[in-house]
Amino acid sequence: MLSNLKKKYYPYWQLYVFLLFPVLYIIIFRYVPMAGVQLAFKKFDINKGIWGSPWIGFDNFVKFFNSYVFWRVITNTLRLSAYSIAAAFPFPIVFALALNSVSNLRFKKMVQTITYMPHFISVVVIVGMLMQIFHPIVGLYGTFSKMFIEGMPRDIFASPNAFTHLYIWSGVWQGFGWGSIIYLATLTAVNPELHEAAEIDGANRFQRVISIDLPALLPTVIIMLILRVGRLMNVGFEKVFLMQNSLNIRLSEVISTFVYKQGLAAGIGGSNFAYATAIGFFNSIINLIFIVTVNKISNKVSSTSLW
Amino acid sequence: MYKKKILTTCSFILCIVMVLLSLNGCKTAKDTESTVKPDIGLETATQEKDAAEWPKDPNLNSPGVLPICKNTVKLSVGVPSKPALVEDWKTNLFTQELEKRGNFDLEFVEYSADEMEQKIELQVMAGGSELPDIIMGNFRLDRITEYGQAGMFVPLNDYYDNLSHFITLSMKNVDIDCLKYITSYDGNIYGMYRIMVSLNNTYSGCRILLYSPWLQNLGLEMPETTDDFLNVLRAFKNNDPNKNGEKDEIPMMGFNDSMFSNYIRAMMTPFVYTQANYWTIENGKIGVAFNTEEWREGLRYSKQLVTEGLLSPLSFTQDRAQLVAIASKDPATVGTIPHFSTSFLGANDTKRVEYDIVPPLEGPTGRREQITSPTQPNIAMVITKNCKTPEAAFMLGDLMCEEELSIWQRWGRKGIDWKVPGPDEKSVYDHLGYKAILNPIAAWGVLQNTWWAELGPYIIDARYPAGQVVSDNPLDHNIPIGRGIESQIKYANHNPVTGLIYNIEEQEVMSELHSTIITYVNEHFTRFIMGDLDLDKDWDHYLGEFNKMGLDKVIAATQSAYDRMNK
Repeated sequence: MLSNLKKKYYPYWQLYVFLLFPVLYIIIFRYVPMAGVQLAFKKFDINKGIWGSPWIGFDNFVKFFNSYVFWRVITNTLRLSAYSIAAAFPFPIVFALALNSVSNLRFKKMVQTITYMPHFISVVVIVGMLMQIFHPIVGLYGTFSKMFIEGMPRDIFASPNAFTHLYIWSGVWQGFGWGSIIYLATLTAVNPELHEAAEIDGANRFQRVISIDLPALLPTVIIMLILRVGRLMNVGFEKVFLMQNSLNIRLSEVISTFVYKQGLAAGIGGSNFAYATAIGFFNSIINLIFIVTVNKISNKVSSTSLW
Repeated sequence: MYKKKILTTCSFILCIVMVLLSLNGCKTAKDTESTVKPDIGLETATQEKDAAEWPKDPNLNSPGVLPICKNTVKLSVGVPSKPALVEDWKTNLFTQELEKRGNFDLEFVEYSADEMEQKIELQVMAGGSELPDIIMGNFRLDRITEYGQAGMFVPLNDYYDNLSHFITLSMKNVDIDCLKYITSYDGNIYGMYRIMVSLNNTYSGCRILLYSPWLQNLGLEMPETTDDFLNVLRAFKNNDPNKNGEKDEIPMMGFNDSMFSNYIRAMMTPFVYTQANYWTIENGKIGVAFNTEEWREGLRYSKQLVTEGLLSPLSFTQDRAQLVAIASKDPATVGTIPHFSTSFLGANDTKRVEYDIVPPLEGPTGRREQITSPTQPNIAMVITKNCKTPEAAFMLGDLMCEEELSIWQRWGRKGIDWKVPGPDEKSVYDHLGYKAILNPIAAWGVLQNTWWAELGPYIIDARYPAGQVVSDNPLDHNIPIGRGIESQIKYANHNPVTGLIYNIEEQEVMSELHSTIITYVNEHFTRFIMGDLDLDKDWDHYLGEFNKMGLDKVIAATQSAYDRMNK
């Protein structure tokens, strides 16, 4: 047994050392903190700490399910997330396919740099820019509309529906360049012989994209989609929170902002860590169910899957 | 096959590591439990001695006699580190003065300023053995109570009764029951407080500023009633008060943050008593303002302002920077701003001194009052269980509350950092009886090594902040406040429900339900006045939802907290 192990693993020990660091990283920063999830089933007492607080079973969850805002935050989260997948997911793919067909290398590089740039702008700055640009009096939007209509134009930030669109499409603008990197990388792996053969057979550029590039891209697309669906219940906190106001809050209050208000920012009575943990945990379980289901379906249909 | 084996081995190792780690976690948790036990040995020891003589520590002189300690007492002091406004705690002139007057040797333990709260929490959770003798900072009462009950901090009730000398002296000029606001619900006092009684802040919570040159341009009077106010706004809108021939005036505009405190409170008060959390009080019974018929009348009024184009709907969505951009334009385009001061306008903007305070408006039923937010003390210092000489530590805090040293903490040394004003120098509030008492020289907000930048406990009564000499700057934003605050004082209602201290059970109810309700109220406030919801059709539904949200529980919890504090 031992000699067998030695024979199998010893010759590659350097590789295992390489493996060790990421594994350790994951254990220390991903698995160990998971122990804190127990807080969801406890009544947190700061003097006793996480481990010493008394168990209260599912009380925190029941509280959330019975809470006044439960359905509101769930539907808002799902709406934003589903819309975001529908709008933002196809963009990088189409963009990568198009960019891959560009033959002028300098132009290609320039386009790449320009489209990656927004990714590096902080969310706070982005929201600040949005508010400046779409201000009906001092903003670009206000200045332009003054040329065409009398009086003040509609205030975009006051409309809940406009909030949704603005949130999603500014996200698309910010993320599609960066999101296309992984698809571009996959496309460079396509065997050029396939393209040469297709060219000789008289296929035009568009036909080649449809019949060669797209099928090559499909497994990556599916994996990315599965991963994305696994984050269905996660709507990024900062941007929603920054864009919130009392006029759009009925569509903009999502799980993460609610958790923040309950868990950390609660004014009178102090913060409620256990409750916030329970909500976060509930969130993760729903995500897990989604990712497992989608993975199963994808495995059945296209035989591509995460595991 | 091969791959699978690696995987299984890896996951096996992972499992073992996890189990080991969690075992380890259990162990440390147990260790903490044993050490967290309240350390009450100290007090029982002191109680055995004769109770008549304070201080019990033979090394200390009686209260009021300096130096405090006969032999030098060493104390470790927890303070926030840079980037505070203090260069070096140890060599700071104020530190040296304290050490000299009290015969102390202060040693500073610095907490990184932005994670001070978390660091202290960690130390508490680890049993508290690493806490310094005393900690200076900003503390929340509910935290202090929790830690105090866990035995981390020394209860100071007896010390307040028997050892406070300078505190008693300084409090003679302060008409506020400070201890009431820092007493935990269990009756213990775990902290020493700081207070600076501010005339302006008492009235700044609901204030509307009006651009008075427009009144003169149109020959109008300062509005006194809600109807007057409506007419003034209409005139601002239609009669071109800024005389540029364009209809670019915005009669009233605010921004998202201040709207909810300033606008709602100032514009609803003519209709119903509107305190910061919307509590109402009648014959000792707590209620809320936002489910009353009067609230609906107030909403109707605000709705009229929006419908007639007098109150800009942007007030609910734009941020401060955008309001500043609009309000800074010349000639002025914004008539009234619900805000506490004009300090947001540029330093060279003459409009800073042209906005005047609108007096509290009289409502249709004759209601006319100004809601105040009386200054409340903050907990500035705690003495931890590790302190071997808690009496000396308390007397150090007491010394810091001495009048001159209190002022030193905010304005620096007398004669050097601030001067006694000459006979012809005046304060902004001179006409209200606040004679000029202090002429600041040293700049506030810069890195220095003279004072403690308001960190420690101190007691500064209303004469000092209000008695500052008017600066030479003719555009000082305090000038219009001094001019108009009298009208607010005249109608002040000095009995608001404020500074309530909840116990654990009440806190739970509040933290779960209260923020949801306030969010709901603010959301519906805007939706009703913007016409998104109808004040006739949707009102009953609006009221009905409060039952589902548990408003009765919130009121009951607040009632019991109020009763406990006002027995």
